[in-house]
Amino acid sequence: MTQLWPTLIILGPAGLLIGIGLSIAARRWQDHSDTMIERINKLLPQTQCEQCGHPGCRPYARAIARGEADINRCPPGGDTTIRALADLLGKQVKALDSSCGEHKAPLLAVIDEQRCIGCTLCIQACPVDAIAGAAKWMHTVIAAECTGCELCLPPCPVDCIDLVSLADQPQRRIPAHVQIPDLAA
Amino acid sequence: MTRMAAGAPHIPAQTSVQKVMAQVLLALLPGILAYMYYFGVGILVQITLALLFAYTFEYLSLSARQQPLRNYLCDLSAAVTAVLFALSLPPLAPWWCSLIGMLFAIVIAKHLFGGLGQNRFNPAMVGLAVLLISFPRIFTHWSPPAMLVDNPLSMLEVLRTIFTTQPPPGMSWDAITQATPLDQLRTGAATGLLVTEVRQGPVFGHFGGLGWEWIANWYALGGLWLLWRRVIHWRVPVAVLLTTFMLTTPFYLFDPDANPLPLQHIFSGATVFVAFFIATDPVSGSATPRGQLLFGAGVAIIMLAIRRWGVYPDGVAFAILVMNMFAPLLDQYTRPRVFGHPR
Amino acid sequence: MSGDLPVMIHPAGAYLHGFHGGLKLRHYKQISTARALAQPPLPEYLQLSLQQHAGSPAIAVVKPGQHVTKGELLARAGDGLSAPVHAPTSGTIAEIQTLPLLRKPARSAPSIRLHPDGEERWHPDCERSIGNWRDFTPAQTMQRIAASGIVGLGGAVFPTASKLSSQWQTPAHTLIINGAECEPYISCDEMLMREHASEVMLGARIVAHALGITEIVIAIEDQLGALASALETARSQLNDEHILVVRVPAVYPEGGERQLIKMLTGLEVPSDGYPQTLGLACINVATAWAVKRALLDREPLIERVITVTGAIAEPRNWLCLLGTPIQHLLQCSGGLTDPGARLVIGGPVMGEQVTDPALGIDKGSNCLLALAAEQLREPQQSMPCINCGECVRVCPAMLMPQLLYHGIRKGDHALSNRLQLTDCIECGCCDLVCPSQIPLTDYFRAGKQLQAQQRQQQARADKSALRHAAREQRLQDEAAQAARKEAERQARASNPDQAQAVIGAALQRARLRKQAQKHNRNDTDGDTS
Ligand code: SF4
Ligand code: SF4
Ligand code: SF4
Ligand code: SF4
Ligand code: SF4
Repeated sequence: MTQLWPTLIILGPAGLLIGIGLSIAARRWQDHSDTMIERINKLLPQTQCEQCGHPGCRPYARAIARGEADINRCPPGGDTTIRALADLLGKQVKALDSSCGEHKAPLLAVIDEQRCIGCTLCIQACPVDAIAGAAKWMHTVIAAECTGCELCLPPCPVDCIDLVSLADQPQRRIPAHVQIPDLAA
Repeated sequence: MTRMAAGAPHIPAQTSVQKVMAQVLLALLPGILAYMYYFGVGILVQITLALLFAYTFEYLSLSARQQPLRNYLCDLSAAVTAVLFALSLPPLAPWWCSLIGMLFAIVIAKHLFGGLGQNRFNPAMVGLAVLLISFPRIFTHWSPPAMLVDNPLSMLEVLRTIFTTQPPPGMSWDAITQATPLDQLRTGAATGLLVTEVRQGPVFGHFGGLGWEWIANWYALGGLWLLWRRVIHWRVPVAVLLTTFMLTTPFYLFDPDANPLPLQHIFSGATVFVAFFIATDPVSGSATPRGQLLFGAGVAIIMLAIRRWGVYPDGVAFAILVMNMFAPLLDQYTRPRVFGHPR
Repeated sequence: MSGDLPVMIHPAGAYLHGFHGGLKLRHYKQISTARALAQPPLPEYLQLSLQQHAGSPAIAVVKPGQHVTKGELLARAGDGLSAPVHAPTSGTIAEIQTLPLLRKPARSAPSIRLHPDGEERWHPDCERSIGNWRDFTPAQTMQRIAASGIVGLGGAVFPTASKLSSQWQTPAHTLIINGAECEPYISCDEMLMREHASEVMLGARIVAHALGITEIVIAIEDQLGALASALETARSQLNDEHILVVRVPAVYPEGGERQLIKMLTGLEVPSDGYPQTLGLACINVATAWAVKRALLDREPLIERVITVTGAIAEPRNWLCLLGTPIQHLLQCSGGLTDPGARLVIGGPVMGEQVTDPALGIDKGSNCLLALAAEQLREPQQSMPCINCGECVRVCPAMLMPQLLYHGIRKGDHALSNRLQLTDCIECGCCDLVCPSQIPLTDYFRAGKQLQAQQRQQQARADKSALRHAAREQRLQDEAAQAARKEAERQARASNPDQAQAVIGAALQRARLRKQAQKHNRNDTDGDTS
């Protein structure tokens, strides 16, 4: 028993020190860094739809990096994005938080140019400046830039914006026996 | 008319897991018959027991994992595991050897890893290794070859021995079993005998163990048939045999008194059996051409090292298991160059 | 000149190089070669897709109700890579509708329905003389080939003129005519060569002439002994010692351009390159024939040879107008012998299932195969991969199909990327040897498609991120500027004296500047005077 004391005296504080060091390190490297935010942001679909409750994908990425938001809040990304995030952050994959919205196939906004009154409200709402037009002139959506975020819909006073499916023509149909995670999403 | 178009190719593969396994079993037949001829009917009992336990465990595991029974019970992979395992047991080993061996082989090595195709280790060798480690004494009780026995044991006596785990009344273990040639070499070396002197012993044949050398030939015949059927390919067996030969030859030439003939290594113990039937197990081996060469060579090197320096007379099971660990790495680092890409 | 060329093709019977992997498949070609090449009766209608080629769809230049003559232009080439479509016979345009593609049923494109009038009246352009091809410049020949709607008739349907005019990293030295039809059942190239050997050679000569070369190699499978002698006869008639007939061992998929080139020359076309990278041009037999007809007979590409075989009452090769409906071809061939048979366009290993027999054959349709029900595979019954390595052994692209399969199943695109999924030629060899009967090629096609989709999505997302950031920046700047202005305004409002002073100072500065300018001007005036 007398043998034990020196050991305890040496190892005890050493252990304590190491423990403190580790916890500081953990806090320190709990990655708030911009690179972590960038890496998370890279996995988000960049629809900028704000359904996650953040004003855009990057803010959501920042919230995730800080541990302030869960990883299952992005409807446009769906399961694929959740899986990628879980992978990156070493977290459990979980189902999409349905309070944020449902996953949908990618969409594209189209303005009915006959009905548009040129009020510019949609331009102000569009997060990626994908609408071209000036006051009193008819507006149009630049198809290649629109993310289908739907943010331009509510402000339009004449409801002249529609969403159409953006699905590219598939090269081939994939037979039912092919089971791939991305296909389930 | 929006039927789901079935993808090409439209014609089926001409092979199946079941066919592959059936051919392996068929190729083992000559070896098994020779085994029976030289060492008695004990091996048949062992095979039957192993099959019985293997399929019991296979059935239970599949049911527990809720896998389609019909497909998987018919694939014959459990049968191959069982037979390979039984062929590695001494013919008079107690009945529970198969029970323990198959428990570890089928339940732990195979199904806990995810079943057919998912096992990282060769199931039969896992079963064998467990027995080797836990009950090494069993493996000292090998039957002597038939030429050395005046009145071989009857079927009844064999059964009684296996199930009571005792030698038949009026006989002792020593009377019905004998150390294997490899064992004798090892003990000989330990007691300072020259190899040439040990080889004077009755269990040695022309160049391998008496009986063993013939069984090895029959195994080789089956293996060649598998090669011809393209069920296995030349790289693994050639790598095992060639490495064994090339590593033992310098030793032999350097000091023929202390080192056995290279052919001795090949024709006693399980070298040929391993080269054609165990090391060629696809699941736990390497799939690339260069990987297979390395795999075979690795098995041979470790096997010889264990024979020479280890505590076990024949290190095949461990050699295979060690190389199994390296197989994924081999696959990764021996990946072929893709067509049209620079070297 | 050939001394310093990097490529040597050895004379017939001499050394061939072989390629990794591949399979020896049973041929079944005799089924369809017993009957002679013939033309089917005119069908009730022709269904001509405007997407019969790689690239963008052709653009219709005719209207429903319009009468057209044989060989008349129906649709001009679209933008970029594309090819025109011509009327295979005279008749009336019934309608133009969007229909699925025959060989890519997941996609659709406009399609013209033509009702033949049975008169087969040629368009005047096809009867006007165009002069001798030997006098043509290469550009003229290529233009002619392009205008005739000629694409790779082996199945890749890449516009031939575009192919022959680009990517020449090495000066052209040899033209390879690909007659190695390696898929079972298909015999259209063989029949074409049997009946029109010298025309094929003429076509090859025209192409070679346009490329400024003389060396021509015709590759055929070594099992076709009779064909080889037919080609020899044609060659001696033409008396051209630059044409070489090489018999290559029948290993599937050597009809693939890259495999054939490896076999003939020992060289590998780089993964991101083309045969032209090595100074080789490689075209299909039927393409060569189409070139001959375009330049000597002034006929655009309006028909092709198609093998109708398998579970068919009278299997044979038809010389058949493009757009001929599948069901018409079946009827002419006596119908199916097995009602449960699956119709496949192309061969049994790489073909595409026919989803709608009312569709017409396109430029790339080399075979209509009816596979009896008992010959079909059922991919649902696959077992787990046992890592046997058979697929590695046969993969002509030298991939590791089993690892690719694992990667794709896990959704690990990074892994399948690293394993070069894009180099898979979808030949199906791995499927045919897999003891676990895994539909590997289906997975690879799906994986490629998902990968492409993902790349596209990523590109889109990257762009959106940039635009979003730019907008945020703009809003911030605007807000900051507004805030600054507001602050200044308030400052002015709260301190009128200072405001006056500021204004005074500004006026003073302006005055000074004006004076300085005047001064300057005077100076320069002085200089010039
Ligand atoms: S929910 Fe919308 S804004 Fe939020 S991360 Fe997803 S795409 Fe971006
Ligand atoms: S146009 Fe509408 S849907 Fe498209 S990005 Fe802008 S706001 Fe979103
Ligand atoms: S909000 Fe509607 S009406 Fe106003 S500019 Fe946009 S599209 Fe036109
Ligand atoms: S052939 Fe099939 S079972 Fe064998 S390694 Fe390839 S995928 Fe696996
Ligand atoms: S389909 Fe792809 S992976 Fe399979 S053998 Fe052909 S090239 Fe290789």
